[in-house]
Amino acid sequence: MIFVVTGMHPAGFDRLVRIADFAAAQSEEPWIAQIGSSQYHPRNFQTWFRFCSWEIARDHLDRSDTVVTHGGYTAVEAILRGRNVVAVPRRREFHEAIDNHQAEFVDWLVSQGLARTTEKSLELADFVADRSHLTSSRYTRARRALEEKRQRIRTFLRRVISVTSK
Amino acid sequence: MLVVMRPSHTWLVASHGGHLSEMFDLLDYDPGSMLVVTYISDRASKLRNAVFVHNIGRNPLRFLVTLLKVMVLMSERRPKLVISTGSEIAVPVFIVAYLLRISRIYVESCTRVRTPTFTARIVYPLSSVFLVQSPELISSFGKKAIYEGGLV
Repeated sequence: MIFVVTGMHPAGFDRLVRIADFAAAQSEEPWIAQIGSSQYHPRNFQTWFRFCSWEIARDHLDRSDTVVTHGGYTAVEAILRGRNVVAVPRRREFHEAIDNHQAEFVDWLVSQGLARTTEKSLELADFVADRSHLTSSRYTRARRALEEKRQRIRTFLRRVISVTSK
Repeated sequence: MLVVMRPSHTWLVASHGGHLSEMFDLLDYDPGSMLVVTYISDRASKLRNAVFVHNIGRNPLRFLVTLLKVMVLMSERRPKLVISTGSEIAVPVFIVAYLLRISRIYVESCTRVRTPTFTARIVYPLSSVFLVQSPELISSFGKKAIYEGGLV
């Protein structure tokens, strides 16, 4: 199952929905999409909706094989669950965001081999079908490093909170 | 608009979507254990122990309304600590917390690798503890900025 996530941005993310919709037409697997405030009406997803509760989103993340997401925190959630992640950043040039931080973030994920990126539906269809990189040692190392870094900040925050609560 | 209010030492403050999800993950949030201050949205509406405010965006009037609302709430409830991952919702909360001498922790989102948020620049001087999750961001701020893992 492929889960598409556009996030909560008030303008939606039409470009991502369109790329995913065309890729879904090439795919045999079921696609479920959270399209937010996007105006484009998809035709090839099994199900799509605008927004959903945390529980439902978490459920989809848990049950998906591949997550196609905008360049936001969902990418991290999906990577930490070991999903095949394709991240498409919102770009300032297309008036999808006020800056290009998503592109910087996605570039970093790709440089570590934690996710892939594309702007083309055919390439997206290929990425969705090919999950082989998830078993590579490069990916395993990068994911472990990410988990350690997140654990480090969690531990730090817990300590600060307990000190401040006294 | 109040939903459920229980005495809570620590307030979690984040706009909806990724900021809130990240906050919950960073703190291994136990639902209902801390008061959550966030924007009104369908997604967040089922949160227990939460206070909802309107999406400030860049609207000065909404900012003022939120500032006043937070001032009333915080003076009544007196949390010991507020923690925020942004975005703009942190600004009015940190202003009030600063004035009431309530500890303030700001955590810049892990999706910020090289370019900090506008919010971070504003709340930096107001924060007791200021965390970035990418070492590259340290140079965007003064010596108060700390890196303790996160993403990069």
